[in-house]
Amino acid sequence: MKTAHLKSILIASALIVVSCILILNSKSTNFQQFRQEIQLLRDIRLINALINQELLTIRYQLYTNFDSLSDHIAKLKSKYQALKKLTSPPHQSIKIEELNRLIRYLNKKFEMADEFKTANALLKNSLAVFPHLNEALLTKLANYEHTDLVANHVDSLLRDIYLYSLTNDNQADAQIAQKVEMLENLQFNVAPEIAPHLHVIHKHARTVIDNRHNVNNIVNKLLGLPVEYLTYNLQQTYTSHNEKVVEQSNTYRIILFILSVLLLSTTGYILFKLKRKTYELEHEKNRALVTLHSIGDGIITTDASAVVQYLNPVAEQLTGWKNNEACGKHLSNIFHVFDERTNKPIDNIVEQCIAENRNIPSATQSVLVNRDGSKTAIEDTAAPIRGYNDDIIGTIIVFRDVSRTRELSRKLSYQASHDALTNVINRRAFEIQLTKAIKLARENREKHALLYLDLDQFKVVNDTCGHDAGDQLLIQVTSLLQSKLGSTDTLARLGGDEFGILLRNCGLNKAKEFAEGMLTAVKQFRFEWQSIHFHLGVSIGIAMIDHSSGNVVSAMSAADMACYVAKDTGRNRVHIYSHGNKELIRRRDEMQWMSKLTRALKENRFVLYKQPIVPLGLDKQQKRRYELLLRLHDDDGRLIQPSEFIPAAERYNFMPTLDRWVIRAAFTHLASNHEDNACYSINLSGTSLNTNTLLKYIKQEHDKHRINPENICFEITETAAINNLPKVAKLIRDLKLSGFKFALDDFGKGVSSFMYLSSLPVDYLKIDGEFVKNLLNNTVNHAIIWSINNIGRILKIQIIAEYVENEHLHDALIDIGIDYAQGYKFGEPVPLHNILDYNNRNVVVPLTIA
Amino acid sequence: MGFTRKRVVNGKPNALPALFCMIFIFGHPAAANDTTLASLRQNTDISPIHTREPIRPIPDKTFLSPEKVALGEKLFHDRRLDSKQVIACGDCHNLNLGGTDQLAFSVNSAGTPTRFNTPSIFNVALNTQYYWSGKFETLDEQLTDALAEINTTWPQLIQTINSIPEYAEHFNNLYSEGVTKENIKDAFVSYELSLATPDSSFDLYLKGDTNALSAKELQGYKLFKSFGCVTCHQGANIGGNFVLQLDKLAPPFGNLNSTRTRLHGKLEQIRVPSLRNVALTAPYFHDGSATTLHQAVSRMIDEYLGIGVDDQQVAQIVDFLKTLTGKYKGQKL
Repeated sequence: MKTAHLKSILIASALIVVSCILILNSKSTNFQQFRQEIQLLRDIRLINALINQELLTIRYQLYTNFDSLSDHIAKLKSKYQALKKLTSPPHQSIKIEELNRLIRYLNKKFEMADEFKTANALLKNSLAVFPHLNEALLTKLANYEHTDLVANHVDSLLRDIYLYSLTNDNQADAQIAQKVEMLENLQFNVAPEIAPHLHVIHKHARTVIDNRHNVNNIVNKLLGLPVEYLTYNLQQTYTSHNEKVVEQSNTYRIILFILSVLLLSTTGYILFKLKRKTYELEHEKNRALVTLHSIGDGIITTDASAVVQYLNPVAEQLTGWKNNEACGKHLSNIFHVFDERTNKPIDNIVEQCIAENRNIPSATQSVLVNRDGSKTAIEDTAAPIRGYNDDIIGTIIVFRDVSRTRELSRKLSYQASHDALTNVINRRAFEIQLTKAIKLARENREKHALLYLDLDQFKVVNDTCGHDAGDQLLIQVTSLLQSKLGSTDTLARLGGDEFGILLRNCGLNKAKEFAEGMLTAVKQFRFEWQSIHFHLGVSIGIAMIDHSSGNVVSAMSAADMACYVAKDTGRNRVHIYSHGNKELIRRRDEMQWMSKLTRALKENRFVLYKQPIVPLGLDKQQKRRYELLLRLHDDDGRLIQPSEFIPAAERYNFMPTLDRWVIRAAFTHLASNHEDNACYSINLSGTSLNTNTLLKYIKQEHDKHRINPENICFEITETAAINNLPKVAKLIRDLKLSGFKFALDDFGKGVSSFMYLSSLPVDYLKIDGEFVKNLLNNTVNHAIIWSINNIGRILKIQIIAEYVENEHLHDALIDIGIDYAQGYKFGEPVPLHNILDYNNRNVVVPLTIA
Repeated sequence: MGFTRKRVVNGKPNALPALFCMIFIFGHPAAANDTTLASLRQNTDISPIHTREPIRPIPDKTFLSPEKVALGEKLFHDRRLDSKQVIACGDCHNLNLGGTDQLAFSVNSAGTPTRFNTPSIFNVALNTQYYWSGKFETLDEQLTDALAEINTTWPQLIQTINSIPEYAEHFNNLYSEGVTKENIKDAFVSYELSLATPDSSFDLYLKGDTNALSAKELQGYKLFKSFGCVTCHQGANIGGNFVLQLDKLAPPFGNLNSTRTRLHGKLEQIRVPSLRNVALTAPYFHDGSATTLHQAVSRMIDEYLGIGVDDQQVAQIVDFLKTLTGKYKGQKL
């Protein structure tokens, strides 16, 4: 990592340095060029100046040489050549015309310099030769007389011509010309030997005059050429342009420098950041690895082609492969998963995950096969790991050991569908089975039989021997029933002592036969508990299921009703459900009653009647006693006897509500009629007694109405008392403490065990009316009544006889010594309220039972 | 910034003549520091005596690569370069004969006589123009022209040199590009520039040795000056540094229609020939028409100056001219 950084830093720096050098280099080449150009122009100016200087030197010296001039001109020519190469100027601001003009003038200068040399040579030549000619002339003249004039003239001419040659004065021309003319004229006035001398002098003089003109003209022209001016201007242009370029390039360099610094610092910063990020990533990675390592689930990561990259310790343990062994192998070699139910291999979820690019949740019931063959129930998910472009770069499989969970859930589902006590399926599961059976019946025209069994006598066992005995009974009965079942039949405990049996593919006759078999088996079965033997019976309802059957509920209720009928018609028998059955119609009526009763309660159409209970003894001054009886005003105002609606109320658990209504109505009556000091008997039904809140309700109403509890006597039927013995005993004891009275109703009708009386501290026994009705012509009934009366005497319980319809019965009862009698002989039931206080019957009784 | 700006005098065109007069009198103070000027000054550095004389001694040798000079020397004398392998450069410019062949006209490779008398090869470095007509200003240009004399062209010459292993090797050793036109020129020019003949008696005199010249010779020099010869034959090469515009000549400068002034009827200008080693380069004039130096001097004075001279004076001038013979490689020519 570090070397890679160092490399990239080096490369970046090298690139920057190289680019800088390149740019600076190209710029400096430009400078070089500019410098050369300006130097060239400056050289031209300098050489031009030197040439001009040399020209003047040569012009004003008699003996001279052209070496320096030639040198300078040669140099200028080389510069001139260089200048010609500049004719495409490097920048637009430099005018090509100026350059060309300069070149033209330089060219002219070279030409004129040659002319100058010629003219100057000729001029100086003549000037140089003058003294020699003068001397020769004088030598010659010495041989002749009267030559002073000539000598003087020539002498003065030579002097003048020297001075003349050095001046630029044009006025001297005329003077010299005159003298030269004179000299010419002298030729004709001298000796013929002298004339040629004068002629030569004259010619040289003319040469001087001509070439002086020439030389002066040329020099003036040469010096007047605007070479310096043009060069200077060009130099200025170049310099200013150069300055501009230099300024620009300086700015450029500064910008470049700043950019480089920025680039460097940015690079540095990025590298620094990168380094930090790398460290952070390293940490993150370590953290992730440690997390993966220590996580409780098994984790396998693969690359995009499902090749294993990593296994955490849990995964190692579950698969039986070590991380280093597994890495590089294809996942299918490591991760064998089967479906628990089908025992078939499950498709590799990783491949699915890669193909579909989404998270794949666990397959239903996966089992992982370890390297050594052992199996573990697992739950696995696969998720794709995505790279930058959302490409899959690998997958992660997370799985965990769900053996315990799955075991637990299996147990839970078993418990949810099975009865804990008997281990057969419960109602819910049975209904599911039944649903399937109905569906099959409907689709395949199959016939099934649904049996509803209700154990008789189970309550007695449960109440007398305790729940353990009841449980044991149920277990034994279940195993008994199960032993009779075929392989396709299903037994379920539907609740309490009720069982359901589904006989698949079974006709009515076969079902009946089976049911009879069951009856016999149960009849022959003996249940023994702590050396007490019990005989059992069972009521069985059969409902057939065929293609015309309704839903589960109707099938179950049909079987239930059939069972009820069987029970109702004397227990220990089989009843087959069929449409239109009388009993069943009654049951349906009961159901209709329920809605009527609910509505009646809401509309307050119940009324209380009272029937007197008269003392048969001598003490006629006892307070009056009445039994309160419930009546219902029909929608049409007809009065309905309780015998019509009580069975329905009993069956559909409406009795507690009715009882409470009665209690409240009675209490209200007593509270609002203080002058009425009679004692009223109130019937409490078995279902009411079975509720836990009755005691509380009574006490609550008592506290509310503040009546005299002595005026209330609760009547409990013997059957109801026995069915809820512990609860009833407690109720009686508690309410007796408050002062309430109790009577045991219909005594002798049920199991009639005197044993109960010891645990039920009642004040009265009410002998079942059947005994009383037949008292006169049935000695057994007489004996029973007599013995009940005796027991009452001994237990200090007063006895009430009902159904006393005539004088004979009245007398017979007096003979036996019965304390109270009740019946048409003493008065039919009449409304509790007379017409006057009829309005008071608008008593509101809450509908709630609880 | 490294640039000097506005250091040159800021003059205007109409003020220039006056300005340069001032420069003439007071020198050039403004440019005193300039390196170019300094280098120029160095080149013209001269001793007190000859500053007053129009003739200058041959300047000291400038450095030349000895290898290149040696190569040039070989090429110069190698007849193989001639396509017909007849003559070499050194045959007409014979160093033993004053750098000439001492003929009125030379004969080239093709056997044709040359148009003019062959001038001396010695001291060509000091000439500013070449050929009698002065039509070339550099030895480079002259060299290309002279290839015709050995009947060859550049491609041919390059091929010839390449075919001679010692040359090819020599060139490759000296020049990275090997045998090329430019390199051949360079070798030739290097050799030609080395052909200086310093330390003549007159040069020694110019450099301050007053005993270097006899009285007669000194008298000759004085005559040389007083006859005006020196106005043209001046400088270090005593001529060779300018051309005379013949059409500008006026009387008394001889007959314009003579063979010397109107060469082959066309020439309108003629280079003033160098008088270095003139004693060795007879015959004289462009047509070799003067066989002796005495004759040449007489004719120049007579025809160009239009004055009569006596033989004694001519002899004196000839004596002076003989002091111009210098030394090559330390040996008097």
